[in-house]
Amino acid sequence: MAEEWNDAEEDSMGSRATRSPWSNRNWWVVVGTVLAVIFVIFGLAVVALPVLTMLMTARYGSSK
Amino acid sequence: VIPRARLLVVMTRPAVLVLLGLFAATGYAQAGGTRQWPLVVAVATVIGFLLFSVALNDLADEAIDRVNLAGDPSRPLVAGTAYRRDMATVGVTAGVVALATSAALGWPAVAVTAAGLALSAGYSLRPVRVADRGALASLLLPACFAAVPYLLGVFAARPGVRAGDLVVLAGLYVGFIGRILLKDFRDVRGDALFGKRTFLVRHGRHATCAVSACCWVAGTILLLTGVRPFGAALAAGYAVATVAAVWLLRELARDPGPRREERLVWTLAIVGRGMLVVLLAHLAMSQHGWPAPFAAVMIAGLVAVVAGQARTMLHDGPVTRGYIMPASGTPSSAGVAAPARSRSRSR
Repeated sequence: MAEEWNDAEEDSMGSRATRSPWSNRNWWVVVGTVLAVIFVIFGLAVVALPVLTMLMTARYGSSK
Repeated sequence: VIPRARLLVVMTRPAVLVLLGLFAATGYAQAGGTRQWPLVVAVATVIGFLLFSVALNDLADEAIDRVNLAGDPSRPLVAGTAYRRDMATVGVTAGVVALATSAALGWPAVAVTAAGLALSAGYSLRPVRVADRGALASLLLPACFAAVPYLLGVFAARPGVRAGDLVVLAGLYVGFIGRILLKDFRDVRGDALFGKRTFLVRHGRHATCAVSACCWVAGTILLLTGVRPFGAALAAGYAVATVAAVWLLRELARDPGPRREERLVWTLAIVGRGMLVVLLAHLAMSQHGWPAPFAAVMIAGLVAVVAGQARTMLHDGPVTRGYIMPASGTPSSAGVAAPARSRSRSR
């Protein structure tokens, strides 16, 4: 019964719901990381840090 | 020690800390700050301020959170990972640390921190308890969340505030009012049950979304008016984000069901945080004299990243955390318990 419930839950969430935010199928992770590296190279770590944090937290729900 | 450290991490609510850190960094960049140490001090003050606010809010809202956020690991009192005494200790200590670190930025920063701590206490604690007072709560909370870290960032760069700083602050403040109204969708059941008269409980879904959209648009206009130097790429990126936000709010106003409603609110939060990151990038690149075309490409890239994040959240939902155990208390027949619906949340 629990298995059925879990299956139903997975279906409703979509198969990609369990994927890591660093999955290479999330193209924006790659683009964002490249941008962050460019910011670091040109001395703007103060921008790179929020960009990387944004990438890491984007898949966790927050209302703010 | 480890459980205590974990409690502090949980209490800082990483997504909220990122947001407040962004406000501080934006204030610092707007004021022309270049050295890193003052910004670190400002962020340390912000962390103390945030821990103080979270501790007080969790203590005051424990009963409501038991309804709205039952079992949520981000609520230590509800999840049973901390006692009220622990929260009180963290809150008082964090408040003292915030005041002490702000002293390194000068007396204006101390005044802002003290005012922020007082406002935060008034938001959560009786007899003032602004949290129960509908529109007033929606006006005060953004002041704590946006104005305190932003002004600390400004004072980390220079001792005074200029007119341009205040116009940008007004834009951040008004825009954040539009976003903070939406957090009440998550809590509407418990809020109504406990008589917490939020804007949503008082005026309903359509009015809340309409006011939010107005604030979002007004905040964008104010920001673009105050930001110096003005950037065409920034304006274009903000126009795209604001149109997207208004569309998402329109969807939210149509009562799309609890799960999609949650995703819409979280997607709007991603768009809001993304707009802050883009603004910070614009200010920092301008300050460091990056060529306009190169800066425009970077901003376009950031807008694309935020759009990708928003789309992923809207369509796929959040990543899951935790496991559902079968009734027997053992993992499913496949040997691995399937993931549960995510309840990872931050207030």
